Amino acid sequence: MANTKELVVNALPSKTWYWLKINDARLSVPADVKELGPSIDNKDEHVTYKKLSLVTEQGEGKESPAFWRNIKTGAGMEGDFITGSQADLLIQKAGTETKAPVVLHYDYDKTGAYGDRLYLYAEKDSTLKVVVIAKTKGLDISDTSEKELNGSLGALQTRIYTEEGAKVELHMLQLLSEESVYVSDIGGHCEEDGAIRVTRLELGSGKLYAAAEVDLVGKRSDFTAEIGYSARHAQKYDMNYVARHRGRKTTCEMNVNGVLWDKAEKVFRGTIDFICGCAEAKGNEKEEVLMLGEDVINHTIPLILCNEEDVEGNHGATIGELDQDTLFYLGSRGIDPETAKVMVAASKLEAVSQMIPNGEIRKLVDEFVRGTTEDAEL
Amino acid sequence: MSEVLLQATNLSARVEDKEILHNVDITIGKGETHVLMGPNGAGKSTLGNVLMGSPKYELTEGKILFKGEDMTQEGADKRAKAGMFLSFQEPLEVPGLTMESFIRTAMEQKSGKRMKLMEFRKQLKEALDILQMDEEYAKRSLNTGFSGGEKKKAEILQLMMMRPDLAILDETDSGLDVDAVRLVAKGIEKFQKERGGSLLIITHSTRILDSLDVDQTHIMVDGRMVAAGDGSLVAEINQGGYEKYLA
Amino acid sequence: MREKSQVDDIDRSIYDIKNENLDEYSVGEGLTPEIVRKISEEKNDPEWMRDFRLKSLEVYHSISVPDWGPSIDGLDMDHIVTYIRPNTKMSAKWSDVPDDIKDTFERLGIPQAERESLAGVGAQFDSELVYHNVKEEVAAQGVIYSDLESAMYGPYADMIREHFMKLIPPQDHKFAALHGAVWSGGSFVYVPPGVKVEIPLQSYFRLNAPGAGQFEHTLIIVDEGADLHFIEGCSAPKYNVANLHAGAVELFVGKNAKLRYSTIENWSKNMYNLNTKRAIVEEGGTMEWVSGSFGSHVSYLYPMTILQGNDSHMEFTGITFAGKGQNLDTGAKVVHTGARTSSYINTKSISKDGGISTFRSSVVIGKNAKKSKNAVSCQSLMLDSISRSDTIPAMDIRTKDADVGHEAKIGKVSDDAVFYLMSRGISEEDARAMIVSGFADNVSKELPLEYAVEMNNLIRLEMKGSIG
Repeated sequence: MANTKELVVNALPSKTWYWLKINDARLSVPADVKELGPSIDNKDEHVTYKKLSLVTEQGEGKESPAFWRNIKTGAGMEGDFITGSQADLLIQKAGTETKAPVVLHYDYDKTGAYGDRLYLYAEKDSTLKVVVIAKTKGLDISDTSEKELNGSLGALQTRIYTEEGAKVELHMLQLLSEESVYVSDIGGHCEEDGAIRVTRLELGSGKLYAAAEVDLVGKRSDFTAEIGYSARHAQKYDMNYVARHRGRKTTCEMNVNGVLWDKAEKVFRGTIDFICGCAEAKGNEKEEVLMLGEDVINHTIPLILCNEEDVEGNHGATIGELDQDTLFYLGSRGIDPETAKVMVAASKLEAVSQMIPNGEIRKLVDEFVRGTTEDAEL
Repeated sequence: MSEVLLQATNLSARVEDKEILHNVDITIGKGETHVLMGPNGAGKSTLGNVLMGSPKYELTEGKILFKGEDMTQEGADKRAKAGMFLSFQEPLEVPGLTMESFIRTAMEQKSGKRMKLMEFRKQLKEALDILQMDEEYAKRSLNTGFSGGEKKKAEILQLMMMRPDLAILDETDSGLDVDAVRLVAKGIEKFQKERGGSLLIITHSTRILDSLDVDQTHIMVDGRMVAAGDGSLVAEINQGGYEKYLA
Repeated sequence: MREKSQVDDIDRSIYDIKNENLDEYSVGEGLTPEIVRKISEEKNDPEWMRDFRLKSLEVYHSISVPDWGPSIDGLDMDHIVTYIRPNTKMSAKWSDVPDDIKDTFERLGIPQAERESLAGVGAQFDSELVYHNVKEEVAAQGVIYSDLESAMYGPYADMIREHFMKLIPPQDHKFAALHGAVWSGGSFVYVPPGVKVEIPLQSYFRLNAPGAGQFEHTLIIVDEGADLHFIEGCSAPKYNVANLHAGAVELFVGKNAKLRYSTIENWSKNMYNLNTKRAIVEEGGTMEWVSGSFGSHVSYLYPMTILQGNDSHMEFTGITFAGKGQNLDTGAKVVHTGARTSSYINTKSISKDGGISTFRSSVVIGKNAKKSKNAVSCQSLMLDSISRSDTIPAMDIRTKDADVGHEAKIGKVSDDAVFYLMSRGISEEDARAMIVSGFADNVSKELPLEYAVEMNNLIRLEMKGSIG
């Protein structure tokens, strides 16, 4: 394609053998990426909404571009390709909590390349709750036919900062058309007792680049990620999640649950990085991959990097078809193996959906699950 | 003896290289209640699992007939559809799958037809009430985050809803407090009396048997059936233990 | 570039004995086709081997050094003397071995080990096999155990040509190419169909001269239904110049055959250990690796197994102990191509006094490896906060009919456990040493007794002075 750049994104924090081809991912983007601008529902009285200009270096602290640039993201330097001139900035006032989560809709056209920046800031002892719904305009969820990429792209970079005792809950649903590429990159920074909780459901887009890197700087700060995905046909998902433990007693929990159908391919890199000084930190990561397609490809790369004695880190991964015990239990209730697989696949997505306090997302997920499972070829 | 429901003959089974069951026979008639007792590690749970068709065990010999049909080579789902049921000691947890939708799917799979939601809810509520379980349980993910007692109750709830012809209860009473045992026994009693269902109760204790009429008792030691008798054998074991059956 | 030797705070003298330089001569320091030709001439290679060496040298110059693992900047290939030959010929009897060499072996306990249970000893001193003895009963079973050079001219010449560097081609990586060009010494073992070798065969390598590289090649073929346990042990004295070890181990496990390959590696702490080990397993065969990595300055070591035959099986049990000045990058690789294949990888690693240990693995399950199983379990223990421990596993699964499980844990010695032992009157130092030894028991229980004892002694030595 003319006028595109090839970028290296989602790099593994510590390289391994090149022949595995998982040290990073290649992403091709058009030189010109337009801003889309979200439509915002459920505005909250304690949340300030601003358009932050990125063109001039004015403003102080959280209202300056430099403040946000300093927060590293999971996709890495080259993943920061969005050319727009402004960012949407949401600030939760100190000591307050969002009542109903603020909902940001990103409705992408069927063609064209769009990129946006979203900055979330929670002041001292506040809780900011945000729901992001990214989808292709007029997408027919019940249409489960296979489609090819058409050059369209959607990108969202989210940077998060939590002050002392503050929390940001970010719930994201991605339901782009299979013709699109979607890039969703998160960077976060937590001060003492700060917390970032991310729930994500990745259900659409022909290609997905999803990443997050959270810097747990303050004592007792926490990062939780609950990720569900479903990839079918020739969809390719590439994910890179990093928790950097710097402060004492910091914690992280990453749970990844996904289903691969047909000939879908997925890479999940999950890294827990214990940096010297993060004594008494704890990090857990768990990945379950349900492989249901004849030609699926799964890459799982769970890293623990450790430079501190007094920590606890755990990783677990289970990859395969339904295990014997599950099949036997469901079988003993009269459920045949094919139904059992679909049932468990659906439950993985529903489990994440249940954690999202938003009716619209629940409805979309239900609809998606129905379409996918009814159409499943096993 | 009444009409034969289950007839298992000469069952030998092993896991990996270890033979656990040796030439075991058991026959259960329609509406009968059988009790299987024996010391730890005797192979009682294995027998329950083998009857239900667990892929964990390799059946090296023997035949399982249920309602006269040969089930020996059938998968668990076929056996369940035919009317067999096994309650598990460690039932499966499936986050994201509600009890309610699981039980409904299972019932629909068995009957082969869709079930009206109202009718299903009504039945479910009745069963929940007997077990003194809150309706909220039905909305929770299958066995996820359930306590040991809740899991046992959830298994009996499924038994009551699915109405099999034969229920194999594997240590359903272990780890339950007195009140919970009473509730579970009530559920089983309802299945036995109202449904006329057959039971194979695998147990250590006799508390659960208090309210049930036992037709036959089997004693298993080291993977072999070593004795059989009527309900009075239970009391005898209670008194004297298994010592006289140990080699 | 030169590197300072690591000065340890503990007495490792029994492992660090060094002979006076008794080498007859050595070839120059650089690596050119002339040198490779000279090596080939000296070794009296067949023509195909000479050509192979020269081709490998070309490959060597065309590949760059890896950039994904520990730094090997301290290595300067132009100043490494690659080939050194001791002033002694092959000898079959212990009494013929020169006294000073014997002295070193004596202090390492080799003759005792042989007397005690070992079937044969192919101990390599510098680059040449100096001591070689196969017990009569093993030979009587038809088992061939010899040095590779002379076997190239014997009745097994074709077999060697057919297998040599077929599993580890020179193109694999830079140090495989180097090995192909300058390999010297090593063992050849052939176990005929159905033969079960009751006692382990052992080979003991030592690197002795300053700046010497060691490039021994081990080729083992276990034919259909046969069974062998091979033990490789390494220990080397300290020197001021960076030392390089780039050996190669190629193992062929036949149909329904079984091979266990055990290594306790304790190179001196200035060694660059860039060893390559690989096995291919045919239908119903079993490959077992037991691997302990204690020594060397830098290690790259990931024994690889190709489960080609249906129903073939692999188990890997490993331990790595990285102390002061050490950067040990170890692990395992497995490729499943046959159906119903299974592999289990179980490793422990310990980091102490600024040591860096990295567990690295790859599990590849191909599209045709239906119903295959893999489980990886790795545990790391951090003994202080100046050390480092990384876990870098990768799984590439291409069939839905696979069952893959991965488990990794990292942590420190439990304070509760130390307190419990101390409450029974054990000193803190001993308590910690006991706990660390216990942590390593996945490997020690897989080793023959005398090796397990040696390994526990090594751990105790390493743990000395770890408090305060």
